Amino acid sequence: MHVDMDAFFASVEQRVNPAWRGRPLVVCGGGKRTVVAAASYEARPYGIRSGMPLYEAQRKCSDLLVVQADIPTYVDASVRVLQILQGFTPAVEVYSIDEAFLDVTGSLMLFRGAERIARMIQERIDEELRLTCSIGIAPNKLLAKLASGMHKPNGLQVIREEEISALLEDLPVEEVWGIGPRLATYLHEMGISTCGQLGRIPLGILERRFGLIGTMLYRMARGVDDSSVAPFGAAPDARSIGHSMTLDQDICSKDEIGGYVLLLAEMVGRRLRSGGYAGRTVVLTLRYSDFCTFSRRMTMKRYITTGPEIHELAMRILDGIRLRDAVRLVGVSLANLVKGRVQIPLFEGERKGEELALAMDRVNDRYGEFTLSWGPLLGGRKGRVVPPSWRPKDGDLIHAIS
Amino acid sequence: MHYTTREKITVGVVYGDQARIRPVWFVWDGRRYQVTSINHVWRDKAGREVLVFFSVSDEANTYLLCYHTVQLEWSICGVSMEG
Repeated sequence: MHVDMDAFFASVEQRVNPAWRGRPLVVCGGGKRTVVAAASYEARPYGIRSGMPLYEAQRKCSDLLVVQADIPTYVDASVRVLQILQGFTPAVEVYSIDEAFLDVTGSLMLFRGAERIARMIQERIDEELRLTCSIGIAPNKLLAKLASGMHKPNGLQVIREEEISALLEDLPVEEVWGIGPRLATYLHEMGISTCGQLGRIPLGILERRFGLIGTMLYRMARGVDDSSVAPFGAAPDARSIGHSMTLDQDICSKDEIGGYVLLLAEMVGRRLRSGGYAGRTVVLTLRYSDFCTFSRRMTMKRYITTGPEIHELAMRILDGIRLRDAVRLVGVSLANLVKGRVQIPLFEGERKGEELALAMDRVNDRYGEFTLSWGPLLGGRKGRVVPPSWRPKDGDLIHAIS
Repeated sequence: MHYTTREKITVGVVYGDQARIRPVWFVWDGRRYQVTSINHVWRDKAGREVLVFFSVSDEANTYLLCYHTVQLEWSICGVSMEG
């Protein structure tokens, strides 16, 4: 079962402010060149979609209400939804802040069927949060996700085993979870536009053309997906942790870019340590004003955990890049991660750096993010974002007072 | 139209079951406001302190109230006026 909250951020904002209900509204980030994070259903007839630059959305609808994202409100609503879902099965996989997969196999007898569970979930979410969600029920996650998007908002769609081949025959390939615009373009160039057509391509041809992805495409076109629901708390370890931000204006100066790199490195280091990770490979991503995007990486022999260490390596990468244009987006991530590392730093400087980071963590845990930070970051942006890898933390699951 | 502030206020609250609290009126700058609806409730954290936010409306406007669970204080954080 796949549960997908309808226009989640926008719907929460319309709950918070009744005057915004029934009006075209978008939720955006705080920057001057932000993109639409969520569009209310009233905004969608104007052609406004998530990911669209705000200026374009405003051009499409002159009455558009623009609301700056308030992440804690969405996190709280998401945690409440998770608590409702966990009342029906312990096998709940949080896919993102507004989506979850449920394995209800063990609950079917108790609640008398998957459709009844879905209806009860929709009723509970409406009753407790006054929000709607769309639910897809199918034999696997791939098809359940497809089903949940078929009748939005507040929809419920079941795909039964015997309906799969007929449903997929004329389904455009880009509607399948995992086939993005670039892959869809490749497939279109091969004369493949539907899953039916894709499914008739011999496996060997797809493997020669796409490698391992070819095998996955072959299975996806047939509606095959063996992945299991990874319950919340049993999710696999992260492979990389990163943050990126679109700058308020394009900049050419490496010194200025370095300021953003420090902020991002600090955010990455904080998440890294709170998850118990350490990493060896720093990846710096830059996007030029013409949207050309590239990444460069550098790997260290030892594992690092602190913002200054990540910053130092990222700056070494930046120093080696000859900028050909102004930069509009900067991203920093750390890969080659290990979890639960117990290694005492050999040198005093490294040990002091780690101890300082842990001391800063304790202050920020107690008094709030960026209460204690590095001098160059004072007065700067304190990014509060929802990364795609967002999962609720233990602290989020404390009993609600109201 | 939105007005953002951060002022201490006095709030009349009804305690319900499961430790749920419901503001029913508040006094801000000497004037009493009667809460006619609670639109949404959510929590945030400022370090270890849990803050509980209430979006409430009276007959005219929508107000954002905050309950500070460590200091046991209430504040008003914003007003949204229709139109």
